[in-house]
Amino acid sequence: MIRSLWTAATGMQAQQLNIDVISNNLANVNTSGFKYSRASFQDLLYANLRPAGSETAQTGTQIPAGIQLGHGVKAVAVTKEFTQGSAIPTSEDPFNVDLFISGQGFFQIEKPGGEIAYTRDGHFTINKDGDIVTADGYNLVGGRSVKQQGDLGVIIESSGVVKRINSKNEQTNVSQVVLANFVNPSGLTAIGNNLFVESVASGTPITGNPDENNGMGSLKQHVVEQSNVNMVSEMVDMIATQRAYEVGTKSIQTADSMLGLAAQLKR
Amino acid sequence: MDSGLFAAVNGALRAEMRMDLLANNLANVSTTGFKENEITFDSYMTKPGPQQFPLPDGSFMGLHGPNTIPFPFSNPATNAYSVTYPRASGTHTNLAQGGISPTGSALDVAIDGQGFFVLSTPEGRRYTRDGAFAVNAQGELVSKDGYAVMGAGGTSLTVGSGRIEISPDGTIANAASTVGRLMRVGLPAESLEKVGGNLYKAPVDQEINMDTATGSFLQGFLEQSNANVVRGMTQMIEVNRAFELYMQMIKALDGLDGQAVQIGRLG
Repeated sequence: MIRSLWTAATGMQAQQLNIDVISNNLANVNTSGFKYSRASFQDLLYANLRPAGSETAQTGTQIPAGIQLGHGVKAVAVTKEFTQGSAIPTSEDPFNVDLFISGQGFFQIEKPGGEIAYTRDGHFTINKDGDIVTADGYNLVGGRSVKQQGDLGVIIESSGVVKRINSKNEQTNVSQVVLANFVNPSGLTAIGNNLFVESVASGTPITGNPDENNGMGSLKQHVVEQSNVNMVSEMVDMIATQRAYEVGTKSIQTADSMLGLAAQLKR
Repeated sequence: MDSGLFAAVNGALRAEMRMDLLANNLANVSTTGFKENEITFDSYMTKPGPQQFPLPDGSFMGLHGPNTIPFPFSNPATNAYSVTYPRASGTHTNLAQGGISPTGSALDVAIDGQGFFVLSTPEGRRYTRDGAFAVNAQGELVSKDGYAVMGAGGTSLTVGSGRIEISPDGTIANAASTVGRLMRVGLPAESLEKVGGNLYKAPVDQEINMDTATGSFLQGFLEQSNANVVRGMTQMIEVNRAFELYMQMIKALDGLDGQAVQIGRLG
């Protein structure tokens, strides 16, 4: 009985984690470049009360099916799903350097300490030094000095080549945006602010220019990637999670009622 | 008298065992590929035995009858009880297909039909219906616990980075070439042992090659738990009431014992 109380409790804990993950997904439904997560669960160890295949005492025949009682459920992983989010056009301003990756690559972002972080959030602006930076002011790798005084605009081609248009309306190549990819993107560590850093599980970054058929994908200027959260499926998951949690409470109530009945035996 | 008490206690213990099992099924309603357990009971009839306690002179306290008398006056050493006990005979895994739900992730695979995925673990081969796979830093297809998914022929599958395509027969192709084929084996239900972590253990020599069998792999889908909430809740009510009944029986039998003690005090 105590077993089933704890078994039911693990179920409720799992559903609690599930609702935490769903809430975070729903909270980020408007975060550009956000990738939704999904919790996966596994059953816990089983107690073998009577192993299958053992001999019965009475007749010496083998037991065809033993008795296995499980101990509930555990969360095994919360995996980010790196599916493509939808493309949202932003303004056509000549200095709008918003970028969208149509493919699997990541932008490389230089953090203040020099460490490289990775993001799918292509919401970039140009700072006072003429560098392409994230909303937090971190530099985009391959986006230095793209604008000078008096320029008319910045063009970023699908291959990542950055061109500045000077005051005489002449285009010159100034830099190259280099994307990174990972063998296991789900293994990246999210550090908040839409940024990821590499981990042992993700593997080392593979870098390459966009639009070269290397899996990085191609770039599109004046567009940002929307969150890939699917509201409908998250809502359905939320309903299922809430009901599963409710079932867990019923298991606990039943086990408790049985314990109560047993406790009343002694008068 | 006591035998009735033990039968009731035995019944209550079986109800408790059933409750443990139900709590585990219900805790795993959102565990990918989970298969619910069922418990079967049979009755255990203690043998009346040929050697019932012989009456010393054909009479007992002046009463004449057969030369032997049954329990409770029989000699316990001869095991001459004839009481029926309920007994758990075994737990079975219900291998019915769980619901197939879309996830959109290229690394999620569901088996529509019979059979198991084969994982290579440090303890040997393990089998699972949980097709929520991942790619490790070496580019191998692995389970969420990091165990390599075996391809036909017993080799691991190196899929590398980038999107993979899994055809219904299990052939896996990445952008460059075909990398292998998922292994699927059938196993007799009675030799499956749950070891937790959505894994099953079974003797390797009982594997049934399912390369050409019907049923297919569905990429971008996961198999849901087949735990049936409605039946689980109904059975829980049943268990609760059965337990209550056994408790009433124990109380009633206890009352009889108490009255017998009172008789003893009459003189």
